[in-house]
Amino acid sequence: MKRVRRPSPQMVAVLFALCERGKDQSHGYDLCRILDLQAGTVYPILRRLDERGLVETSWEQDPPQGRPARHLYQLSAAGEDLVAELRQLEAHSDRAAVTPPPRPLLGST
Amino acid sequence: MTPRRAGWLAGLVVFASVGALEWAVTIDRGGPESGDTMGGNGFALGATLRVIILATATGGLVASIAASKRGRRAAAFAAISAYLVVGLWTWWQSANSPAAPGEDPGRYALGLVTTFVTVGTAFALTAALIAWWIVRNAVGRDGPERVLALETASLHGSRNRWGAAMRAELASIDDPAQRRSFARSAAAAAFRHGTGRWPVILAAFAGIGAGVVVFCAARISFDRPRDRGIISEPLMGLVVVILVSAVVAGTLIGRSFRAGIETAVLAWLAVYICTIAVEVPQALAWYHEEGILLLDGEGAAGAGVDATAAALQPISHSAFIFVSVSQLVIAILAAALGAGILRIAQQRTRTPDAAAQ
Repeated sequence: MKRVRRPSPQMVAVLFALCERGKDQSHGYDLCRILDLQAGTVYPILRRLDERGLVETSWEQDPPQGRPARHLYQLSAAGEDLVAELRQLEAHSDRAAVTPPPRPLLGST
Repeated sequence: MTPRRAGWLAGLVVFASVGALEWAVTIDRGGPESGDTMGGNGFALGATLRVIILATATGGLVASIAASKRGRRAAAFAAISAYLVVGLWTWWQSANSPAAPGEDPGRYALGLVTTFVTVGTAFALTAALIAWWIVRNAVGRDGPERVLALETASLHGSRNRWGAAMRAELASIDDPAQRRSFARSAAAAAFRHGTGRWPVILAAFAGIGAGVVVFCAARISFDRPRDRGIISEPLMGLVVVILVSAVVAGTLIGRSFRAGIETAVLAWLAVYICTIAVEVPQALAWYHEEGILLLDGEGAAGAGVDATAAALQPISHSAFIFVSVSQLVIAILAAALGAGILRIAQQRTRTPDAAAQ
């Protein structure tokens, strides 16, 4: 049986935030502000998600003059599946764990 | 003749001359049988390696600077400063260690000049290389942008895209405090995740290899005539070979000069720590068994040297400058060598990888 490594709370938070945006694409800095996480935390996570095929990326079309195109992120189908799985796990752990209190999955969100 | 080819040619001619001079001085000392603690095959091997690396690095650096105007002034300033520092150090050395009675003043002066030219040029090249690389890559409208540009420079593959994404994001932030915070955090992430684990693995390999070599050199030297220490042991040249190999490998695997620099600094630290970890107990063993010093094999008894001083001799300031700092310089120049090899290989295969150098 394939062992699935549980993602970090920060990665889960990024995945959930991307999921909430639905088909809208997000900038890395938007995610930093929404999740109150540092860029140094969010960008390595986005790179890992990209490498694992959990997000789809593209470059901004028609950026304002004098500014480079920003990178945009959107959850892929595989990412959506993982989020659904994580939500199930979260619901299950909420029901199962009475004492001690469950570890927050979403970090600071 | 193109500026690049002229740079390579000039570097090779200059350092072939200096190398020949240094070699002549070494051989003139009489080699290992002369009893000269600095003479012998080990010193000659070290001189050869220095000349090869210096020649290659000079050619590459001069060619690169000739091809790119940006950073030329910073490189020149850094090189002159390094020459000045080494010049002062040479003068200080000559003032504190004048020619011995009966020593030919001409030969003594030639030795000083040779030391100044070889050590000074190695330091100047390294300083110029670092200054040029920083100025060339640290491009931006303010400090945060320049810091992030420097940290994300020369990333390759998907990491290159990742670096570009962070730079683009920073460009869209206007508030100065937020720009600083974003750049600081993103630069730290780029530093941690920029080149992967290879620099650490190669540094560990270099450190362990150097430790083994130093241990073998110490034991082999101990069984030989007692007038020379490990500094004249030919096997010690392998430490530089291991260091250079690790750094060149790090540059080629990481496919950038930046990866080479990271490997160079980590490998140098590992080599220094492992070397000292082996040398200190070996120095104590030499002192207790024969009353002689590990580095130069001279008698410690009666010279006011105690066991602590004998053990600390390998980390004295002169040994540190001569051996360890020189190794750092060689390691950084080896990164330049690796970047040069990479560039040539990419030109031959016509791989459009902008991350190189």
